[in-house]
Amino acid sequence: MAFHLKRYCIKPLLVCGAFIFLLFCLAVGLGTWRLNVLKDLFLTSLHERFPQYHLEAGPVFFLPPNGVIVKNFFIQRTAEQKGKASERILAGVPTTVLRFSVKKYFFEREISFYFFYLRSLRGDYPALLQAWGDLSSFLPSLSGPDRPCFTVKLREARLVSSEEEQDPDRGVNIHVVFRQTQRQLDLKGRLCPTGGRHCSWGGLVRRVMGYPGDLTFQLAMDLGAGKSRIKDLIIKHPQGEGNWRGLWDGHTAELSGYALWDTRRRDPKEGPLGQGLIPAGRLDPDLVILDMHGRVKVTPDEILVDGIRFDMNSIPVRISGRIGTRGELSTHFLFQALSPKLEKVLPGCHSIQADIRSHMKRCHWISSGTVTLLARSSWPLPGDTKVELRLSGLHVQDPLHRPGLAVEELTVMCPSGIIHLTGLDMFWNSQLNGIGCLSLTGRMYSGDISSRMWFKKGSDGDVRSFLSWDFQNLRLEDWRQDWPALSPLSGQVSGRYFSRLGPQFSMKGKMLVTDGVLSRVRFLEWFSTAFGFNAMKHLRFDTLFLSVVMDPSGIHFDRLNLNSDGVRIRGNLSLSDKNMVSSRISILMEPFYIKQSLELAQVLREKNPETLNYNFEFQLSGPADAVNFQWLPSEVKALIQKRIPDFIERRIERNIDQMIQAPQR
Amino acid sequence: MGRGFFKKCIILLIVAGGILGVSAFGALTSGEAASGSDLYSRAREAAQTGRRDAAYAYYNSILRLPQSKYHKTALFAKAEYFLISGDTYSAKSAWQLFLAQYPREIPETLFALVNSYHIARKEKAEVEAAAIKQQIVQYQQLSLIFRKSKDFCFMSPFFRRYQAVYSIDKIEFMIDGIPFETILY
Repeated sequence: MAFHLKRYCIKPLLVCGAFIFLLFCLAVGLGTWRLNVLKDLFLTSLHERFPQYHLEAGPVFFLPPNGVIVKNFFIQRTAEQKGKASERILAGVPTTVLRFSVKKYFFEREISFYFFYLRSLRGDYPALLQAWGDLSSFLPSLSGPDRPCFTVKLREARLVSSEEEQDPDRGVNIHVVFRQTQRQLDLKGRLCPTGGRHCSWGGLVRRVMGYPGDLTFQLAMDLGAGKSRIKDLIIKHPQGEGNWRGLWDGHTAELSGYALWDTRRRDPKEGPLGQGLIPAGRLDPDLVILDMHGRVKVTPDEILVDGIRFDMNSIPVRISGRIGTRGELSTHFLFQALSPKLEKVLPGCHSIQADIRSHMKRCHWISSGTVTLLARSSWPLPGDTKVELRLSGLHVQDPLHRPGLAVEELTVMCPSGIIHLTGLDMFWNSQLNGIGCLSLTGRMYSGDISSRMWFKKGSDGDVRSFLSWDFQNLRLEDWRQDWPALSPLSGQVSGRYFSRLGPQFSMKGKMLVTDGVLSRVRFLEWFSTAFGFNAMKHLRFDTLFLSVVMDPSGIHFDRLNLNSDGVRIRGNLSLSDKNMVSSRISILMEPFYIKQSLELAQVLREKNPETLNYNFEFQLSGPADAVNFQWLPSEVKALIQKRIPDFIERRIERNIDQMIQAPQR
Repeated sequence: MGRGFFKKCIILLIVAGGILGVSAFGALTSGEAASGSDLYSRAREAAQTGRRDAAYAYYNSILRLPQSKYHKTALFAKAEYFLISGDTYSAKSAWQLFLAQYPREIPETLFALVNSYHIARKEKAEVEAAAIKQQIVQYQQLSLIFRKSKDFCFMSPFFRRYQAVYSIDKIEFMIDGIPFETILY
């Protein structure tokens, strides 16, 4: 052994190694001590300059030759009042690795960091953005002729509010690499959903190959003195992608590009591999946005979108608005699509205008605003029909698994009246053999409503749509203040309708009204006055059943069946597109009900009143506002004619003529 | 004689002049009124005896009078004359003028409307015909309690008997008992 040590000079080597190790440990120790002193000074000076923030960092380690590890760094907003506990943590990084330039340190005596690695950053996004705005003045300028060269890597960062922090599977993980040199800027990143913590096949696949819903983005720029060229701004998702190019002058970006999206919902049963690993070449988008041109201005407080124009599935669209970058990230957007081509998507519609304001609340975009649609209709309202949708509390639900929209309140304003809906949930499903389906459930006044709308693209490229809607237990008294046409009817209504939208509009359905009152119906008013049944002016009924068919020729009520105490009304009624009525009505009374009319009871006095069929049949026709009516032959009519003299008949006719013509003249 | 007599003469002259003026004005106006009635009786007489051109001339003269109680009848007669003569173009504008000036007269407006409808249908102006048909059906609300139909009759200035038979779902128009138009609804 001694021989070997001598022969190969191992001993000096060992001594040398031990000396170097000693030096290394000394460097680490000294460097760590020095850095900890510097850290305290740095944090103290920062706190003096920004008293509203409290910055704290755990031990700092020096890693020769130029590495620095900072443990447990966090920013906290200082409590405004004394005695009040500090507010929530704005951001925290368990491990930060920094690298500084050794050359600059030795030759210029300056610690200049060029590499930042932040692992597991947790940040309260809107508050962090504000803190960044305040603290960035302390940092050297990132632009200008002496722009620094540096790299920032973020791994497993999560921007969530402190309230959401308790749920580890909510929000998204962010992985970002940002590199800036004198002439180039590169940004690459990936946003992937959290979760997959459990040890499973799916979790392993996600860790190795990425989550199916990963969103990747990439920005490459050639930096110039005045304007910089955006070579590529790419956003990719398994279901779509966007690509833009343009110019950037430090405040304003002029962009042009395209975006593709496959809105069809994927079945979660396809498994972790089924959805996310579709190659870009196989993307079959059904939402194609081409010829996108626009200008985006970025200020510290907001991002202004100055009239972006594009063709969405060959429909010209214009969007302008602003996105706030502080506080609740409030946004305001104006959307406008005016084109006959819209009919291909929404039958009959040729204009959509939207004015939507949004803000961020608990990691959800909450929107409210107005959407105005102009649609061509032939009947019952010829010309353009304006439909205004006023919505509030619009937000996306479960965007990763079953994307849907929820609306707290929706008011539909059409020429005929207003419909007020609350608590709406909408889901889009476009998987069923090329048929898209929009499902909606919610409350309509006091009742429940559920609706489905199917869209099918025909061979000619036009979209055909069908709508079914179902409502239950709706009190008409609540609705009729908004829908004047319902004023004659009250009660609790349930019904089911099916309609085909577009030029060949049609609707079929059934309606059942229970426990209601029929009042201010001109025919019943006339009948009650003419025959002395005063109770029929406000006819209380147990059930009213209607079968409705509506098409371009008009609206037809078949199988009208009203059951009241002592009275049953049967019949049908058609209202044509020219506002002409055609109807047959039969009023069948129980013998005891006849006694309500003194005159008729006198005339129809029978030994056995039960043997007589008290059926009054009428035919109605003519214009809806002045309907002609005829009392059709029946057993009761024959009996009355037989028992009253002719001059009384003539007087009755004359009185009724005067009565019906009185309001008109 | 002298100044007093001269004054009395002047006052007398003024009073006489006044009386003369008033009586002349009365004579003139009564002459015009007489002229309107006279023209109307002459027109009716001519129409009754089948001299339609002469009747038209008298009716047309009535229309030139500034304010005449026979204006409505004369205007109806003028339109009817054009229609009988086969001048549908003039008849159409004459009926339009009548309907513009007398939109709610009973029963003349109804028959003016049916004449306009007849012309529009002959000219195959479907939109116009549909609009006039709508006006006809809205003209009268009907109730048929014990009867199956109701009749409205009107003797025109040219002594043609217009008749409208209202049923629950149609109106039949006849002139001198000959079916003229039928409106179904």
